[in-house]
Amino acid sequence: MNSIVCLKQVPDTEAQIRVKPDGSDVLLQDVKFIINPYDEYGVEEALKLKEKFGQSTVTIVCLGPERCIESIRTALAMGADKAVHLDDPALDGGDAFTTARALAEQIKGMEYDIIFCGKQAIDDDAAQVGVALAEYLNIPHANLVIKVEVSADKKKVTVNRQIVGGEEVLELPLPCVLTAQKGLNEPRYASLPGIMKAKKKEVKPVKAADLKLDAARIGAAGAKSKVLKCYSPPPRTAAQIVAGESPEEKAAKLAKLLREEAKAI
Amino acid sequence: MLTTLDPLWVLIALTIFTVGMYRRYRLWMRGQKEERIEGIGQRLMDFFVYAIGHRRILKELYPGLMHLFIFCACAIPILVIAAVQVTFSTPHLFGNFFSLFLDSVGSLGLLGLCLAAYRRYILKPDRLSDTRAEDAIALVWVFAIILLGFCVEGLRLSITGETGVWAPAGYVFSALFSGARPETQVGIHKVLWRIHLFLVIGLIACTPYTKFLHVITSAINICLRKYGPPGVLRQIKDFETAETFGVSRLDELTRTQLFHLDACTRCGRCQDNCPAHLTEKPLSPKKLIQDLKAHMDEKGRVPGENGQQTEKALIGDVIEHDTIWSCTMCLNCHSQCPVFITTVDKTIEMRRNLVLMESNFPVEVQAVFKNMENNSNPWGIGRHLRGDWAKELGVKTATEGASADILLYAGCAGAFDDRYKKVSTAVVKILQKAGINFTILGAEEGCCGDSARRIGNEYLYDSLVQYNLGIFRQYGVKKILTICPHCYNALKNEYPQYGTTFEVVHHTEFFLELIKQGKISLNGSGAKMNVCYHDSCFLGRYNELYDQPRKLLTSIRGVSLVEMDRTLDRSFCCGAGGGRMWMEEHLGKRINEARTEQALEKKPDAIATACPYCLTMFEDGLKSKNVYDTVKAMDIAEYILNAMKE
Repeated sequence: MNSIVCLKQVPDTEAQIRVKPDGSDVLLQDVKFIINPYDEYGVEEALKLKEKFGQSTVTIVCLGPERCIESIRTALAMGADKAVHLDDPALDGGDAFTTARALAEQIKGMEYDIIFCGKQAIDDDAAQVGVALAEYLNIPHANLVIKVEVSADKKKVTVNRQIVGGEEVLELPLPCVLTAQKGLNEPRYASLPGIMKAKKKEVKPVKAADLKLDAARIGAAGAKSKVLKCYSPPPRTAAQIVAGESPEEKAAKLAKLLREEAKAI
Repeated sequence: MLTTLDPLWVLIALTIFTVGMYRRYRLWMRGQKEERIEGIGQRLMDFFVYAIGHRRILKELYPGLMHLFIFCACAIPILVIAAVQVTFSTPHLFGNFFSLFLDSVGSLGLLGLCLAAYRRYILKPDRLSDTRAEDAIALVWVFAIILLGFCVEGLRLSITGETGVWAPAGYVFSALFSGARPETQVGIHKVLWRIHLFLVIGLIACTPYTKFLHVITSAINICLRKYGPPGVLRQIKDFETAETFGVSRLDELTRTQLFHLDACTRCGRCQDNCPAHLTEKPLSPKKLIQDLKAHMDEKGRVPGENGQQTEKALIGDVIEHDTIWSCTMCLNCHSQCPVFITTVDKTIEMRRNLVLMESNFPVEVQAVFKNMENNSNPWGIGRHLRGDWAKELGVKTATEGASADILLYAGCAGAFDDRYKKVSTAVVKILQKAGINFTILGAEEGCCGDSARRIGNEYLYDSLVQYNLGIFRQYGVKKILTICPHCYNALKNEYPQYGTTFEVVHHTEFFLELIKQGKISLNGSGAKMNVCYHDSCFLGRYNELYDQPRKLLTSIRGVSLVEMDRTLDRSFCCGAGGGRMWMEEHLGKRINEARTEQALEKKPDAIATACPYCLTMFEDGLKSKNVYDTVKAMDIAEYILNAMKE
């Protein structure tokens, strides 16, 4: 039962995000990076399958700059066996599609039964890579997965996915791509021997050239979307409580405010 | 009166004794090697003060005197007999007075034994609930030896017709036999004397196998105690090379730690003061030690015929997980143990094993670890916001290039906890009024790591320390003023394991000094107020700062102190130490509510603390007792600032 987990490194949820003065991008100096929390559910699920079936390899595939090695090591410390790091400036500046394409190109040559992605990354919240990856690999996928049950013969998987107002149960043939949603599991805390062992585990560096993709199909050149402008959300102003003697008076005041100040009606 | 066979009996007894002691020795030596013990002079001194002198034993009057009486009745006659062997004559120096003295010692010994029996079998305090048959046998045994001693003396008086003035107890006993004919008396004398002798020889022989062992082990244990600040945890230095961390097997404890197990006499003073035990948690320090001892005994036994010895796991089977997580590391058991047995050193090693090796800890702790890793505070608030508490206060940060004599270390609570930010603000205002030149680290400050360390995550603690040391070095920090006692203890007593030399002071120490120097003066409204001060464990037992906070409070006009029953070195923990601040309290009664009740018993107008955890725990306790609006809990810094304003 070989699993691949696609992992993205993202700024910590509490990190201070500032926008570059020219509005072209965000500043990531002095920011603490973590494994995208949804990807972490994927790592945990892959480790659980390994524990259940034994004789399995869990491989981390990560696209991102050099700093990502720290997050890769964290996943290896949790128990993943090895990793592939797509680290090349030529891959920078892309979008979800170039990422998915590059990951697909890398994964094509690997042995796997199941691929886990997070349902989305918490930095750009695009929620595209997992699904696009499945399309590029031409295998089925299920997203927002909160329960995974692989059959004993390792031929198919039954998943519960979150939908509005309930859960949907799907059966997919393997191999397939699953994107993990919160609630799938509780990721483990790496043990100290795990951390020490992770330092010695194999992390294979992969360059853009190794992927045999046209320069026009990777990085900024291959991106289907382009960031026009980055800006911080306007600071939230304090809420206003509409005072009045009677409900009617309050309603009248509210209507006036909505029309004249908020220009909503 | 000795027969030719007697030396043989003594020899047999000594052989049994030696074999027994050797068996115990082999059990202790299964532990890990340690550094050599230094300071023989001081240790000898400890032997006289704490073993012979009963200093800690006498902290509790009834059991203390009871033990002293029994101790004297056993030790002094043995010394006399030893002296007689050397000088070949009874000491004539004090003659009759000596006889009177020995009589008194023996009588007090009988009294002590009666007191002990009365206490154990009639009063039945909770801490003696694990009474065993050997306890009764031991009492009767020693009682019989002393009683027979008196009978023999009485008979001697009766036979020789000596006056009983110098041996009043013996004289009383002589009355028992005065009716008998002289020849009969001589016969009885001979028989009783021999029984007396055999009881003594027997006692020697069975010492290593019974509770009498404590006579040897407890005394030695006193001499083996650790010096320096109490409760400092062992540093792990070999993260890179070690294969296991913490303790999951008995033989991973050190030899001294195993020796501790044999030094425990089950007196139970520890559990009488343990906040976990007193609120119905599964932890009792005495039970912890005794369970470990039983495990050691079991492992020491030769496997039976079938060779199948069921191998119990130390963690889980012998010591339950909940027991390990219940400890608040308040150090009360350490302070109360008459013979310096420690438990926190064992609990922390088991926690380390669970955390570092097994990643097995209360679920809510994982977020705390991650928060400390990513944002250097247990709440996980963005670390770039760490300096925001002081933004409006006009405090210079070291980052801005300000240099000062003193670094004010806000700590996570002082920087992030809304309630405690008021305290750190008060501290700043007091320092500013006193004209002290100080800086803060602002967003560059990191968590001190105390909670991570005491939960057992030494690896995380180490990384937090490394970061802080880098910052301290960068700004050439020489003196640190802390607000939180946990930061205080970590920086002052535990960071030196990394070779630090900076000076660390707590705000209560520092403010008292400012008052003495006349840099701040307290007026106060003069309104009469009864304030109940709660000792933080990490200020009190860990650092012996008992007087400073009290003196500060009583410097305020109108303030008088009311003390709780459990105060000073017997102070009851608020429940948040040892990382318990970050764990749910599922078992038993809530510790903070128990402590709040103890304070409210004294009907105080207000409560004073000097620790962010204690303050949180008290405020929660006051809320749950529905007195939050009438009884205020404040940090001492807030009292001081209020008294400076008026």
